Amino acid sequence: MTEHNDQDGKTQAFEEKAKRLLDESVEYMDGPTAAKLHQARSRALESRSRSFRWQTWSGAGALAASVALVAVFVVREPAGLPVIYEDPMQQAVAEEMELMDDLDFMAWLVLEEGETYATDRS
Amino acid sequence: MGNALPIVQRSPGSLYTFPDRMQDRGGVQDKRKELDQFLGSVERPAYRMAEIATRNPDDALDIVQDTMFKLVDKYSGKPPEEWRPLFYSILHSRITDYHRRKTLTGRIFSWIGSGDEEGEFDFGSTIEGPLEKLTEQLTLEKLQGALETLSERQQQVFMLRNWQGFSVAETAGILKCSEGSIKTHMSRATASLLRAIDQGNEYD
Repeated sequence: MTEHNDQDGKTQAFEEKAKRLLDESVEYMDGPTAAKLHQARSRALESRSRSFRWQTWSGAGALAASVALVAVFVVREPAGLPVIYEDPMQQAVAEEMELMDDLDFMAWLVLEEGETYATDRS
Repeated sequence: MGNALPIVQRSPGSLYTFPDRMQDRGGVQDKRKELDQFLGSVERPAYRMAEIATRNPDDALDIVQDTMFKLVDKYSGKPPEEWRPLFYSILHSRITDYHRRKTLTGRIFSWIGSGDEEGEFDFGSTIEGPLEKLTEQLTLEKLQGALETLSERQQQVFMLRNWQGFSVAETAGILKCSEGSIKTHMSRATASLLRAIDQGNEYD
């Protein structure tokens, strides 16, 4: 049991040294490789900025397109319909008005005739 | 007098005002800075891992760059504390893809089958010299050479567990395998490393 623990301790020492060596290897990385990694990081971050800008502009574009559609299909007044599609109620009212005009005319005509008749009799 | 009023204040009916936009822009800058710091902290270990795995500096750089792009593109919206395991998960997935492609194109690497099929390590039967001496004489060159002899999975487990300090559970999550498998790979990786270094010392 003690021997096993001793072995574990030695293995742990080995693993710790391995870790330290690997840490040192990245700490003292050569300049060109470090520069390439830096460039790669910048490109990755730039891609995010581009993506964000694209999303922003596409959002704005979609909003503008929506507004334009609303303007075309909702805000614009509908064109006048052909006579056959006019509202039947409106048609009825219009006919009644014509009839009313005729009635006035007829009443005037009757009165005129009545006066003419009275004048002739006198 | 101390607090200046914002240029445009939120009106009751408005959903998105000028200060919101300014705050968002500030948030984007903060996020970018945070991402920059994170990537700066992992890029070198990631490169070293990829370099040992591929034995090719250019391929290693491509793998690290791909990993950065993927993380930034897909996972930058995740909480920063999740970035590190996600980054290494992407990295090792890329390394695995790299080896698959290489295998498909018919290239055979010396690391294939270097240790996974072996049984539990017996220190007494494989190391000639004492372990203390082996540790003492260990150099980066020897370690790197020995790491290159490990199987892909053993390399990954050793790097993540021993070097990057991930727990067994975290490593299992990153490599998408069981915790038992991680323990076995770690034990075999250490044993294989010791054996490879010991054998290397014999030829020195």
